[in-house]
Amino acid sequence: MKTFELKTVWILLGYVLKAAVLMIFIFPFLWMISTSLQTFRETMTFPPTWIPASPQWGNFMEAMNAGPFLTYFKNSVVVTGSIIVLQFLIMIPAAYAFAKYKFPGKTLLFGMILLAFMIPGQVTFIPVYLMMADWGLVKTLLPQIIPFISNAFGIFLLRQYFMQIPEEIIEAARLDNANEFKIMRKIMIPMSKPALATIALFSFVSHWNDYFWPLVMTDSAAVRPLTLGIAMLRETEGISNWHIIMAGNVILVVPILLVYLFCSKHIVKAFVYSGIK
Amino acid sequence: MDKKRIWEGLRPYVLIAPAMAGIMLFVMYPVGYLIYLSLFKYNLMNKDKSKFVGWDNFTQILGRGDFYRALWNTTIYTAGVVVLTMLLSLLIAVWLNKKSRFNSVVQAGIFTPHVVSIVSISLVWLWLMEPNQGLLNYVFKLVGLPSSAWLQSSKTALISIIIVSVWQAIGYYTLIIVAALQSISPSIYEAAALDNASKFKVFYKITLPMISPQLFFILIIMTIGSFKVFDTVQVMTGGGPNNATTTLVYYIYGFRTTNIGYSAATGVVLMAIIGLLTFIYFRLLSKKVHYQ
Amino acid sequence: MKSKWYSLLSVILLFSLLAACSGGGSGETGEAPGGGGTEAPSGDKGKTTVQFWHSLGGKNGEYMDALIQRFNASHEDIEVVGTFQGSYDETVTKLQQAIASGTGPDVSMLERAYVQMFADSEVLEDLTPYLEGSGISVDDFTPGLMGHSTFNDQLVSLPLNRSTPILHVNKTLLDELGLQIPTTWEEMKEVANALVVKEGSEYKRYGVTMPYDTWYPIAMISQAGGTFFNDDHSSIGFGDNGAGTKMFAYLKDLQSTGALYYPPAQDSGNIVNSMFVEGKVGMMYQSTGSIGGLSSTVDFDYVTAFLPKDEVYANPTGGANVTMLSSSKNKEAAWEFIRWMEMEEEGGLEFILQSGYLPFTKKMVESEKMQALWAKEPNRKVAYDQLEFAVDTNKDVAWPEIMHEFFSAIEAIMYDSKDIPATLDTFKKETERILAQ
Repeated sequence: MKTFELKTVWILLGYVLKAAVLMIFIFPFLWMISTSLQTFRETMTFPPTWIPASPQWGNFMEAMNAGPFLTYFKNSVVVTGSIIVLQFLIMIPAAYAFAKYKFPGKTLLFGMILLAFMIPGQVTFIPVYLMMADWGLVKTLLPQIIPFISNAFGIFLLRQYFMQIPEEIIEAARLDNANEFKIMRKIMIPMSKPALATIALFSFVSHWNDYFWPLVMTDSAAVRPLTLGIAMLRETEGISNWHIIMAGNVILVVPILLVYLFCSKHIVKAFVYSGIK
Repeated sequence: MDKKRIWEGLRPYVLIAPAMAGIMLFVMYPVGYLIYLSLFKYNLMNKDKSKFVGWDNFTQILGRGDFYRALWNTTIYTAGVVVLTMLLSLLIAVWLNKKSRFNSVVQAGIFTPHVVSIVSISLVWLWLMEPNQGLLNYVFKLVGLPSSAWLQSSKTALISIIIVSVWQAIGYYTLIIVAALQSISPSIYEAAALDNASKFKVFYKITLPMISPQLFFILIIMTIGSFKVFDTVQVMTGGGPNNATTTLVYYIYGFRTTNIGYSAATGVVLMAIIGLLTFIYFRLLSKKVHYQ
Repeated sequence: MKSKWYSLLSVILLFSLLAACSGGGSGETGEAPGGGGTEAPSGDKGKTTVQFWHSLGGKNGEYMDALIQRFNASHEDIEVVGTFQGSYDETVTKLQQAIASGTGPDVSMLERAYVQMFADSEVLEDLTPYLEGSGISVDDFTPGLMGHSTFNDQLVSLPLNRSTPILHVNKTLLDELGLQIPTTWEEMKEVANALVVKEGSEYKRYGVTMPYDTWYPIAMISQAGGTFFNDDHSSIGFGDNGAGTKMFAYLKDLQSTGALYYPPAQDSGNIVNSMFVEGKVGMMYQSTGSIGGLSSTVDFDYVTAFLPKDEVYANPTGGANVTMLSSSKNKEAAWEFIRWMEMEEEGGLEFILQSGYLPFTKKMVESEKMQALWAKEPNRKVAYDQLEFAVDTNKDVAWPEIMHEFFSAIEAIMYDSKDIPATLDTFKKETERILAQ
């Protein structure tokens, strides 16, 4: 009887602790939603208001009416979507070759991939912009897409996973006369789903939220993504309307949450069902 | 027959060709350009006003206190973020490993800082860390701890930034580790249970080696990611106070408008440092990782 | 399980199709309402397109868009496309790379402190002949705002959205305590200290505050009789004469008693505004750009006043100018836009009335609308009147680089309480090194 009670206490304590941890992490998220529903006056209080007196749903309309919101949204979707698709098409064969082949120059070439992963955009953006302008692409969405099609991080991660897939499975497939693309499609991809979901999620989040790169690569509203549209709500001088800006940010975050819900399930579940044991 | 052999020899190159092309164009070429710029006192807008200065920019870098300051800050930041994030995500992952609805809710919650834009995050933390009216100092006072100046003093600003970065990164790495943990076959644990091994021993002898590829991976990407930190610094402190949080990339970016040659030279130095670091990592650690 | 995975893949493929179609397409059509014009000067019906880059977001951005629409409506043969390019600093970065690659705009807004740097690279058009051609004289502009307009005898920029620091006062609070609005540093010290409310070790109310910026220390250096650079621009002009030490010592003295609240560096403008609105601080050094937002928010008697003087009244100016780029292929049309914006009543005046920036021509000042506004909102007139004492002594090609160092010095003193003379000495040496380049 006594041990039973003790156990319940422990379980309850675990729940409380978990709830506390949860609060620490979703705090800014809740605050963002709260601010997006406040009045201007409420956003001006210090320390901040937590619960708005009456939710201001109109803030969302105001954020959306501030610019060509649909264009921004469409650009964000197209840019992020194309990056992910192209990345996958390029990344899978490359990771496969780096994981399962021996060839002269492999170490050097893989070293270059790693180097690429290390160099931040803040260091390379000027030469890249000059090149894009040279090619006459500044008025298109391409400068936001093609610099990212070689995802060094993805190749690296995927190679790690591919290396764990036993050689025998591939050999068996080869004996069955399967060609390389069939091996990738039927063996490598299904067996590395969690890695692929991880990469997709990571890629989606970082490109969907990216502010710096689109800003330095675009000169006109027609090719700008949502993040820049929201940055435009900020006041250069004077008092910013944080309730409107946060409403914009809430709109920005919704698609990511949807993708997360989808991907996280795969990242965790896929492991359990996949062939890696 | 010969044709087939040639194809087999070429095959890996064909498979990596598109990826390499992208990297050549968008990384190697800009790097070459940077090396070129680093030898000039360069005027981007009017090339005729540029002056070839040879190694001057590099000698200047090595002679400037603020560069070493930035290098030191970056090192401390990287070490702090990597160690803390690894430990905490491992801890939380083990804790939330058991499958339950509530655990997945908590996991999703921990992940949210990763998806919310850095601007919203920084605004909240700026308020939390405000020395006089912020919530953190209020809580500190309640539990009898001395209050801190957080971002406002050069003594505590860097650690404040580390806290925010760790807090933001944990969710993502927890997710990876949880996935790795759940991929370990239960039969291995059953065998251990039969041997009556202690929980700690099981963790140390079985769990850790089994997830070591993922841990190694996280270590590498976090080191590199932290070394090139930019956003967090820009929105939280702008490199201050008194250069206490200026990291290398922020330092490089800060010179982009006023002295692009110097900025490029610092970029070249940054690349050399990261390259060296990764090389060391691979040499030291890759052999210790357990692959199944 | 499987089917879901494939549905994700197919959704992604759909994206890619979309991308393939519109990736190039949006460049050709550019039909976005916010202004995605094509660069070809021979647009529809022989219209000349003028690209105009600016840094105005939020409400001011809307006022600027409205100004551009008014221009386009009144000009059949010219179409101005205005594009927001991020903050002042971001706009500068983008201008630099765009000029380097030949994709720059025709007309751009430029934060006044960067004008010299761009002019030195010879990428800004000398506006003198255009001014003469349109029968406009330099004397038509507000003199205090022309400090950054000339470079090597060329007129390279004209004032546009200009502001200046000013003292914002919670008059209700001062009246309650029977205090007068301070006009000198000495009075400021007394009033600010009188406003302080301290409970235990915690300050419930501060006297005065200011955003983290170089603006306010520079203002106070001039007030104490110093200049930022010395006469021949070889060093600083506030070291040996003691103005710098005096100013920082004064601020530290106020800070030590809670009379001055010095905010965290990031987002400092919003923090001080909030504290002022909440009555947590009685007075505030802040840009004139905040007047509009504050008057619509505060629930107390809110007035503005000159920055208190020490030796003299003095204040720097801020905000941005408008420039024409030498690389522009449509200079006549570009000039027409600048001229209209600067001189015509429905151009700049309307924008100034809406946004609260300073009127930049004498005609604007004398206009009925401006006088009517000032009669209604005397707070705004104070800002203009203070221009009589406007002085900009931080004008140099190397200012943007030296600004970094000055920020470091401010942080060292205000946050870390480092020794003032030693910090200023380090700053002086750095400045001399940069100026010597």
